[in-house]
Amino acid sequence: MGSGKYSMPSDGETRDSRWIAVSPVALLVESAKALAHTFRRLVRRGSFTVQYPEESLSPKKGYRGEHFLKRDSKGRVKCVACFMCAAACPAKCITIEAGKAPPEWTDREKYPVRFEIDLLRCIYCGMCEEACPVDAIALSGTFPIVAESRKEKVYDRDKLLVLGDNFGDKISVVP
Amino acid sequence: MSGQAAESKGSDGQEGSARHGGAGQGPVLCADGRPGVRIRVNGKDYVVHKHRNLLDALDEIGVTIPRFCYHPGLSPAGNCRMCYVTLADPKTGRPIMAQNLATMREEPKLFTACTTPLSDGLIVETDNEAVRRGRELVMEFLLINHPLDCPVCDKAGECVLQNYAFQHGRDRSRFVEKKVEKPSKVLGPNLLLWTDRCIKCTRCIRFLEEIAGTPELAMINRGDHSEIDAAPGHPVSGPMTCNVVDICPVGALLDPDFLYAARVWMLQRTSSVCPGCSKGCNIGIHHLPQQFLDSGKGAIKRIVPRTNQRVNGYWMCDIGRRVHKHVSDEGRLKGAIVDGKPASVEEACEAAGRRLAEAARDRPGSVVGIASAWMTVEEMWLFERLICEAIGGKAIGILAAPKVPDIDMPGFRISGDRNPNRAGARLVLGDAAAEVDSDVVIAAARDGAAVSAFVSCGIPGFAPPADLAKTLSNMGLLVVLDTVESELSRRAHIVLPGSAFFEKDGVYINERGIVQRIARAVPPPAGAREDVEILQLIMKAAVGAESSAAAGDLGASGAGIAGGGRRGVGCHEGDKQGGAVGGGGGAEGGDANAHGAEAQKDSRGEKMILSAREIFARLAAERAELAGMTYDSIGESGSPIVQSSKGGA
Amino acid sequence: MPLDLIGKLAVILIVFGGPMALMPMLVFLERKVCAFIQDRIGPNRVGLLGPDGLDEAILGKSLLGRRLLGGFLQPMADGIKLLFKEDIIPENAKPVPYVFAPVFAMVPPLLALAVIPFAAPVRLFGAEIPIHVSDPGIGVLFVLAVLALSPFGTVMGGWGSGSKYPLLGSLRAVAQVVSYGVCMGLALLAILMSAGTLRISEIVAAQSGGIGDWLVWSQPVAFLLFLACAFAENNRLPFDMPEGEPDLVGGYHTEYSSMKFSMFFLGEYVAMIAASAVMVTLFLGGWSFPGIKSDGSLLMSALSFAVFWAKVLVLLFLYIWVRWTLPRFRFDQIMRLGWAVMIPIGLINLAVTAVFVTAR
Repeated sequence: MGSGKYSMPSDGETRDSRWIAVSPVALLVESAKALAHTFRRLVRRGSFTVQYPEESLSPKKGYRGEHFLKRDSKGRVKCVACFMCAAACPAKCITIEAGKAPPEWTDREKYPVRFEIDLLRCIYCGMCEEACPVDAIALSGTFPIVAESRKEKVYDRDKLLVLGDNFGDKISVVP
Repeated sequence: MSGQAAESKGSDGQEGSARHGGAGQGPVLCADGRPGVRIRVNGKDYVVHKHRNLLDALDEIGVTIPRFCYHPGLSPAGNCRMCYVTLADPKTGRPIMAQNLATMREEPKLFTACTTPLSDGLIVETDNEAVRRGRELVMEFLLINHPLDCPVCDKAGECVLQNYAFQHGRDRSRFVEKKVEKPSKVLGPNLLLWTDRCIKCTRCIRFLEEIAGTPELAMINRGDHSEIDAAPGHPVSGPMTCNVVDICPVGALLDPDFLYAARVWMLQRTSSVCPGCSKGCNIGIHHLPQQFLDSGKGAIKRIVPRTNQRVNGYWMCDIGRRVHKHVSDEGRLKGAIVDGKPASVEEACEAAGRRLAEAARDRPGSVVGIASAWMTVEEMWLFERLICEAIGGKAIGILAAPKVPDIDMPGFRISGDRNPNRAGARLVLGDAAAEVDSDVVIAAARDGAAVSAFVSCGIPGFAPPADLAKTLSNMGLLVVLDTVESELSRRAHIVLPGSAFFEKDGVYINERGIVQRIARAVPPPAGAREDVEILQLIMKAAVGAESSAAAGDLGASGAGIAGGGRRGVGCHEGDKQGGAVGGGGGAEGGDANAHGAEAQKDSRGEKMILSAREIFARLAAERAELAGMTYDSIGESGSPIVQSSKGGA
Repeated sequence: MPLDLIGKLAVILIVFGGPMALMPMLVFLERKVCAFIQDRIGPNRVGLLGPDGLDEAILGKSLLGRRLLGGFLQPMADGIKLLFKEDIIPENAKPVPYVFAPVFAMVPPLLALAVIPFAAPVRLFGAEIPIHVSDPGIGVLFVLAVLALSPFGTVMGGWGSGSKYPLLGSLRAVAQVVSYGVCMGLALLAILMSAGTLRISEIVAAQSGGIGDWLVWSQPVAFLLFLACAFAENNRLPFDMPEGEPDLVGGYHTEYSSMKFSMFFLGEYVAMIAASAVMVTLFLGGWSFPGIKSDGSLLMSALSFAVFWAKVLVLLFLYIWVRWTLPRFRFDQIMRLGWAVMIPIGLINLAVTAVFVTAR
């Protein structure tokens, strides 16, 4: 029987179904090949699994993690509350409230009284960073994004500033 | 020129342009029959009205050319040079040329459209190479000393300079020198100046001269150093100051009240009418949509004038701009109070209706209702139904803010009658009721041996005269519907939290008889309700409390308002209301259609509350002055009341 | 006599207890093999006292040890989890078939084990104890009958669930069993013809001469057919149409949870063990192996027992290996393969066998 010329009625079924019916030898051979392939994988050492809590991947360049706010040379928040990030944000997750800058800030009229990012709504697209005219906001390479409550994932101005302080220049930011 | 421009534009009208086929014989007429002028713009012939200059004519035919200094409400200055066009000789059709002093070549001469008088046969080009290049160079010049601080400028998003820089400007500046920096100034309590951003269009100077009549601003210094300033010790303090913020094409002049409050692209705009006085200026309410609201600050960020030649031209006063402050007032009533104890609005309305109806039954004529000139006509109509029919009391008079002298300026008048709807009260409640002052109210209350009163106030900051307050507090039952806590509400037995001006739909009629719509921009605070809803709830309770045959007549289904209205207007209403209202009231003995509408309404059940729009439909069907009007026909520009017959209820 | 009885009871215990003890290991093996084939690590968290716990102390920190055996208590954890899940009987279910279906899935394969000799008979206290529960003269028929019963669990479950996907799954199961049952019978017929007996102990004895005597050499086609049919009857990939997740959610066990689900789950593995045991017995010489003599000594019996289970394990590994290698067939492909390919091959094989047997 083997690879005989067994012709099936052509009723529109796809080629592969006919292939199985026509050539059981081919089926066996191909199956054997496949089995050999998987067996090679089986005995091969190493795996792609990362044992997450013990080890973690270092984010590649261009990875966009949670945001941080930068400070200027005098340690003040760099943001000028222009709302460009909020306007650019496709997820509408940035809430800003602008205020008059303290009078001693001679070079600045406006600053954010309130600056909140709801990271649960954020889609980490980085548009805020693109939109910022004063380079005040950036996305860090922070890998873990977990939190124990929803509230925890709403980052306010001070938390974002502290994140910036912690990361400093070490963070890989979107090029 | 003064305010002539604003007021005279009204008679001109903007519509009615027509293509003009060729050289006509005799006087040239526009499509609307008025005399016109033939012009040829970019190769097409038009007939336009006789405007005072070419720029207005081009606006009429929809060829918009950029301008900074020109404003239709002000005299043309021709100093920004942005509205360049080229002209051709009407006889030869050749462009008018001039020598370019830089290249010494003949080039088409650029004219400013705002200072070019309109004459018959003018041949204009608005978009050729010379014009485009001219505008580009103007933009480059204007941007030389402009700080380009759009991110922190409150004007960004509605800035003329920003838009034109995008449409007509170069993509970069060739200016490498240091920009001139000038300090910001406080020009007055309602006016800040960012001197850097100014492009010296002088709109503000001309406005204060021509419209406000207080020439407080002037241009000082020369060249790069020229800047707007007020005389030392004389801050800009007139009641029209903030208009210069609106007409400032850049972010140089700013209103401290709106400073950093929001970015303009976040604002929603609701068209309404200013409640500040009986002039009824058309306004746009700019407020933050709900998604941006989570701080304690109010949603309404600013109020700007809407152009309406029939009413206010292009302007409004600063009093009106601040009128929204009471909406987010801390003293807002946020819940009903019955005998000093908090209650739900439903409970309070039920108690008010029941107790007022009982008082009227026990001592006929002892219940008085006092409306206010801040109520919409819908609320007044409901109010009258409620007091006179559902309760069986007397509706007397209105509360009104006291009159002050008019403020007359060369181009604008602020009415001294600080009540937006006194004309509406006259129409709905009758001349007598509308004219009575609070003194008369006191007298009436005293004479009528009134023991119960229902007062609807809604006037922000209204302080009742001492004797009125005293008279009212001696009442056996005082029900007050108000928005802000006041002397009245403190003395009331039942307090009902109503909605403020920006939280409801309705119709106001201004001092000149223009019927205009106000619109709801923000929802009432939690706990408060729309006034029409509260009045209808009371009406239901009052009707329900009557155990007489009348109650059965009104229907236990509780469509209180429909019932009340029907009974009140009586016999003549049966004929005309059915058709006009369309599915509204329906006559008792009416045709099958009316019955159908009735059945549908009943099946909707107990909870039916009419909206202001539906109430107005009933009112319009009832009053000849409002005949044929609907919310849609009134639209955003209002419509004058029908003058055929006089009279009210 | 009581000694006989005790011996029998002990055998029964071994025969039925052995597969049960094997099952957790099998589950673990399945998960590990699957993981390795896919370049993963597989379960490695549930060991003794966690990933850094005792098992690491025992196995050492070597990667190989951790890769191979870390997390070996995972099946236990799975079992406990399943036990504590809510036991749901759907509203539309027919309670009797719904409840008894998992039992049916589990019992027939265990019964099949009853006629399999697991080891060489042992002589203890003067009595010869055969290490199988029973050795009927129609052993092969019994195996065939009992194995054909096991899909009834699937059918009952699918029908009794009162839900469309399980019903579709059970319909497929019926079609598959009917198709491949025929083929399996044909393969067995060929064996019977060459062995000349239905008694399983005699078939084993006929193969005990050496590896060359194993029937797999004389009947390779029958072996392959039987293997494929066993896969199909056990609903193992590539023949797991009755529970095809992409099209049937979970197939016949969609509506099952908790203990009932775990019985289906375990039933599948028991069926695998039973089918492997049958194949070892019929084709691979049973417990026999060169060097192992059936002399009744305890040592030889134990060795033969180990040999038997080693062979079974090889086949079980084959099951797992195939599952994670071959994709699922489409239903029409399965039917075509069964009726248009395998049954003709089985018939030809039968005819050829008949010719050879007659000629011998």
